Amino acid sequence: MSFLPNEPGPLLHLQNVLGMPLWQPAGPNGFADTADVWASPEAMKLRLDVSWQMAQRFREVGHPLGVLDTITGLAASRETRDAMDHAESRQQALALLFMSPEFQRR
Amino acid sequence: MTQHSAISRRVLLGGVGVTFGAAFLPPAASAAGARDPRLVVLVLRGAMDGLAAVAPVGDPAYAELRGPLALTRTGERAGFALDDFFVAHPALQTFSRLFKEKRAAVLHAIATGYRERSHFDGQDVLESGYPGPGRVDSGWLNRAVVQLPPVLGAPARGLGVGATAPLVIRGPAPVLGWAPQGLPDAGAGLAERVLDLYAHRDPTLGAALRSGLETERLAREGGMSNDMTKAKGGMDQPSGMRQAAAGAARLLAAPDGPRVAALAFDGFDTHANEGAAQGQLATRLSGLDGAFEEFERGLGEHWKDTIVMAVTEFGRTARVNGTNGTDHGTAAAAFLAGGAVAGGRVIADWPGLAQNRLYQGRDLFPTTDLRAALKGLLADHLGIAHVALAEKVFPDSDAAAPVKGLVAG
Repeated sequence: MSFLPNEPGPLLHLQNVLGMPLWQPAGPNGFADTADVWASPEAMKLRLDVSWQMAQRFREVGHPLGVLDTITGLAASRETRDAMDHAESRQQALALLFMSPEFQRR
Repeated sequence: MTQHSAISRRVLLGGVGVTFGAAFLPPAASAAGARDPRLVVLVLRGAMDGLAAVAPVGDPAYAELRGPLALTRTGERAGFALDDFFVAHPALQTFSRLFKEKRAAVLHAIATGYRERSHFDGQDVLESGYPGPGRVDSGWLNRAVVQLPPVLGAPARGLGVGATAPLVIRGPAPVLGWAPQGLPDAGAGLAERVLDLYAHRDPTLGAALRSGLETERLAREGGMSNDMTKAKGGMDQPSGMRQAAAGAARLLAAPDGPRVAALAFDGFDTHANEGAAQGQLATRLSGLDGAFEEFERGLGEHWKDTIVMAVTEFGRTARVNGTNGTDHGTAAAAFLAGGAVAGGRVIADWPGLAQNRLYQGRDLFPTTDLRAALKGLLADHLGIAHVALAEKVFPDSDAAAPVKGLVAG
């Protein structure tokens, strides 16, 4: 699986969009990991858009369920597996993987 | 070789510069009168419902099979009459006008050689041009570009629109990449699927995401959305489809720009609430129709030498399912639009929708091989030799003889 582009720019941009610019947390205690910050409505909406953006950049994905197995092993839920299996494209299946509880809370 | 990276914005700006620059060149700089064909392939991902997009209202079995989704000749669910048998979906306004002007045609009951029901594999077969799934190293459109003569002294190249170029245009020939800038919305289809997953597995994340989406909707309705920084919508939204088509048209119109382009539109997997004159499918088809309009407008004088073809990986079931949608099927419809189309026709060896005529008792029977139509198009429109089509572009497709007469002139 190859990830395009090779330049870090787009990735850094997505980190900025998500409010976590590289090496620049708002305070010395780092990025907040409390639920109200990490799982705020705005953050979730942005994460959805970012997941879709990232998924579109992957080429030669192979079968998305293979990616799921590689990342989560046996921890993947049946619901996540089914949702990915029924996706209308490989890219949508990958975006569902990125947004899945297993991936988000890992 | 795919030149796809963060330079895409510069490529577009470069293309615009070329367009403007060309206005100052003396007319003799372009080969006057020579035919200079353009070809655009739109991949409709998710399996577009051909029986809803171009409805066979003249088939005696149609109305009952389609129930609440059935289009009609008159009334609330009326489509645009194409002939005495087919109507086009009411969202296809531009396409229907082009059809009347004989600049658009439909190929119906058409399918690739793929007979299973996986989107992933079906799209691979559709885009790779190989007889079966598993080959994703290059697409048939790219291998066709390899066969094209140089443009103004430089090797012919393709254009791939989107964050990643669709497989159909990837391969050995050089490909320009372009995508609308900014971070477009993920699209309603993905959002619904994620919300559904959260409903089962993670209500906390579900509540947060639902609230975030609601805020976004309110902001947009209130006119607060920041169009300056955002692309105008995902590739499953009419605004996004239009924007992508307008950008591609601009690049294709440039004198030294690409002559061949591929775009992919999403959201055609209408298992639930497909809708008839309005609904999920109508939204996507109106985006497709908007793309036709943008290409006509943006290509200007080149429109007369252009063909835009829209294809999908397979069709949908003839019958409506229990959730007012349709499931994965077999044969579908394909669209041709542009000044170079020998149009005004629905081209089909119509198999009929009677129960004993359905493929596996459930789908529109495929009577035309999509590769046969594509081979005819590439031969007559782009002048690609038959031997190259048979050996390089569509290997192992001998049974699919090129369809003749799709191109005007």
